[in-house]
Amino acid sequence: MVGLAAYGCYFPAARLTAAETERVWGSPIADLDSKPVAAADEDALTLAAAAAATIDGDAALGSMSLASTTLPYRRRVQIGVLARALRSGGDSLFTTEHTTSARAGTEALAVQLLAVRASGRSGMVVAADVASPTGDAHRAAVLGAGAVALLVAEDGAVATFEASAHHVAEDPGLDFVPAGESALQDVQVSGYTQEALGAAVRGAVEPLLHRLGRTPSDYRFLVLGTMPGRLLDAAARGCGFTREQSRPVWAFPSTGDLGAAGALTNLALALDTAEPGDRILLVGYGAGSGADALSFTAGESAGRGAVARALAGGRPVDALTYLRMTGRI
Amino acid sequence: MGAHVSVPMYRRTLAARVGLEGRRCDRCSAVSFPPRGACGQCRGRSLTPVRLSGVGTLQAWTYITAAGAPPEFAAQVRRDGGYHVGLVALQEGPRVAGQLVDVSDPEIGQPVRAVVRRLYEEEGVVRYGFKFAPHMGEQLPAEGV
Amino acid sequence: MGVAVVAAGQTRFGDHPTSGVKELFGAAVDDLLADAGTAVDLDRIDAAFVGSLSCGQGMQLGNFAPALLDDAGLPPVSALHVENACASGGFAVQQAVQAVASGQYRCVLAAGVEKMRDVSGDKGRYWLGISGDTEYERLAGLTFAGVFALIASRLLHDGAVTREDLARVSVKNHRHAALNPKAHLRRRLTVEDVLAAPVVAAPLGAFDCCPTSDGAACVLVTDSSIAAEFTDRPVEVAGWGSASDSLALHSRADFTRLDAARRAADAAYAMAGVGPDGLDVVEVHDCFTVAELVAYAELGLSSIAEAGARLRAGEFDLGGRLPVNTSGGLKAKGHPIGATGVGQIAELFGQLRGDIAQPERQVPGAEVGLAYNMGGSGASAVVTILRRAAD
Ligand SMILES: [Zn+2]
Repeated sequence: MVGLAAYGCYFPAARLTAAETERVWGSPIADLDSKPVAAADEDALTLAAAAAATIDGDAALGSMSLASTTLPYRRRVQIGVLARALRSGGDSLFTTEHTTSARAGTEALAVQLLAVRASGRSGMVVAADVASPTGDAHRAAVLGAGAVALLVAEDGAVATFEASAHHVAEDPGLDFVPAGESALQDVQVSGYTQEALGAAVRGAVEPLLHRLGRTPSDYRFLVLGTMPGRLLDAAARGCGFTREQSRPVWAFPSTGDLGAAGALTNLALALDTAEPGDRILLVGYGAGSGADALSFTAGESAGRGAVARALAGGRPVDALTYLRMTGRI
Repeated sequence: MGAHVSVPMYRRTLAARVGLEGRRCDRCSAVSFPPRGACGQCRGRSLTPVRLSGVGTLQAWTYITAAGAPPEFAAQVRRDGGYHVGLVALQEGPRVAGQLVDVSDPEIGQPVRAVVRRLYEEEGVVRYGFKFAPHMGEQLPAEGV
Repeated sequence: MGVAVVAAGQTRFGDHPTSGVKELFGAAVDDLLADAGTAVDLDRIDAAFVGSLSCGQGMQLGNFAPALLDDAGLPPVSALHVENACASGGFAVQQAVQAVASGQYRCVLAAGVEKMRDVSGDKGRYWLGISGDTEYERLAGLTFAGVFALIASRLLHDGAVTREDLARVSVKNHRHAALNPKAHLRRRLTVEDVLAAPVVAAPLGAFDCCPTSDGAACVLVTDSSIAAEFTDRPVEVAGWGSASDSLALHSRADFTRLDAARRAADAAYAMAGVGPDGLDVVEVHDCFTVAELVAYAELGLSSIAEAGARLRAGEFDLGGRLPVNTSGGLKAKGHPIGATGVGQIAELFGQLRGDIAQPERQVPGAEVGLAYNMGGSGASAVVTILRRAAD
């Protein structure tokens, strides 16, 4: 059955810790213990290449999708450097790029599941985001950097894909970047953004559970994005799931907000933890808004410790170094 | 300054720079990287593309400060300070110069592996290419042909 | 058919804010005429070769050599720009020598000129790197300081030299330059000064690197049979050789060696019928301190393992067994790229004639001298051996 055959993550080595944040800014950031900081010679594409390189790559790819809200260019095809690094490409590689919201990761995964089913060839999903050097300091404080790659294949040894459901609505909320600008903005009505998030998640999850004839308790994990904890809990609660199903597969405390790579990094954490047969419900949310819900069953090959391995060995940086590395000073 | 490596010139080298494609001599089997017009060993001109693992050993290194960096690397120096550059002997035989990333005290003899990073940006175009990171000894990708 | 150097001129190397390449070239010609006296008639030249990398912008790039000859009022003879990076000057001399040796010309001007101090620091660093391997070394963030730092890094790691050995090259060459009014950097240094200088490319610091200089030099080369018409003390060109190598360090079989220098020297020694033991004074290409130590080995002056001890013992100092870089070398006399190799010949011309104006800088009784000029990190090399003509 179509599903995930391999996965891997990459995080930049530099880390800004909660202790350093508190020392300099006077208070820690809620839920955030540490976050990776990209080096000057890293961007979303190099992060993506590094995550893709963790997947043993002799499988001839038929398709590849890239998800990121912080690609180096606003307009041009950018996945080519990944294809080149993976020694794929040429005439027969079908590629898509998903760039407009944090939902981009699950958009890319949904496209690859369709592509692999249609073509019978393997496909790769790579999601990556880096903290943007612009935008308000409060918002930037939670932005991390990292990438995740998933190999989608007809034989999903890591997890098999069951079904998906999707939701879209005109529901401006949480964050957005107007055309011609680069800084993230926020409607700054917290009750409203939380409600908009909950509605979109429910809008994708409820029809999926209904179609599969399941209840939340049939799932070991509800995988959401790398959002702050209060939003995570509210979103889980809103569709009948518990903290116990969502918090263990929430990388935020050690990665910060990974944007388009958040939900898929959390999925990697779920695959690292899952026992064969465990059910995993993945939900990608993008403000604006839309949500994708995808249901998986963990296979024999899950449990590789990919996230922990990628996070190991970080190098703490002080606040000044952090500000210089992120281009703020 | 004008382009140091023009965009068309960058593009012509992408197979090597990002895809780590070298050339194997049809006569003596020596591998050349970066690719050359003739074999570095026997000067034979019949060569076949070969994919390299990117894994190698550090043979020499330097740390370049702002005073020693070419101007196109000034932006990198402003954000990250100086940078290390090493000479790496690849396991397939050839040697190549590349920046070292995620190292603070490089040691001659240490294993390294190629990663894709930004080299620099000029005229709005990012140049990507290989650099070398410490190799922790995880499973090596198989050497292709 | 013998070839002789009959006159030489050189500007001071260093800052010349009011001079462009034409003024520098003209000043070197004036110096040649002043030094040689009235016997030299430059209207007799049959051809000219001008070495220059042509650094900087807004200067004459095309038809460079004819432009200089015309401006200096020299005869409108065949004029050719010679470019082999930092060895441009040495190759210009070699072209002149070969043109005379071939019998085609009897009197040829070899010159070198560079105007480097007009450009900003960033542009200067841009130009300093353009003769290296552009596609890979340069895109790894290396200029020549970095390339020579890699060589030094490996030699230090292997225990072949010490950091102090590198520093002593600089100390020696600064000491020599302090005696040379035409040198760019005339401040004496201590080993401690060199070690304490800011790092440029570890392990090399600012005082391990030659400066960027303005300057020009020229020599007049003639058929030996007419040399007496120009001077009563000509200097014979006894041997010469040149060679090439891979531009990139990583392409060389042993990246700590400068193999082109060795092959150029072997050819020159064979032609001159002398070996390293027959030399009295040497000018070597010390763009970075480590380059001089490696040069000792390639020229057969010392093994690399003994180079440090010999340097400490003062063998290569003025007054030592074999004085090296009596001018101050590139390190302290300065390195106006195209002029450097011609300036080396001008220095040897003075030494072999006993004409050095500063007595403490003159190597007493010097009869045979060698000049070694290198392009980039050794992709081109040219060696010239001069011998004082028999009385
Ligand atoms: Zn061969």
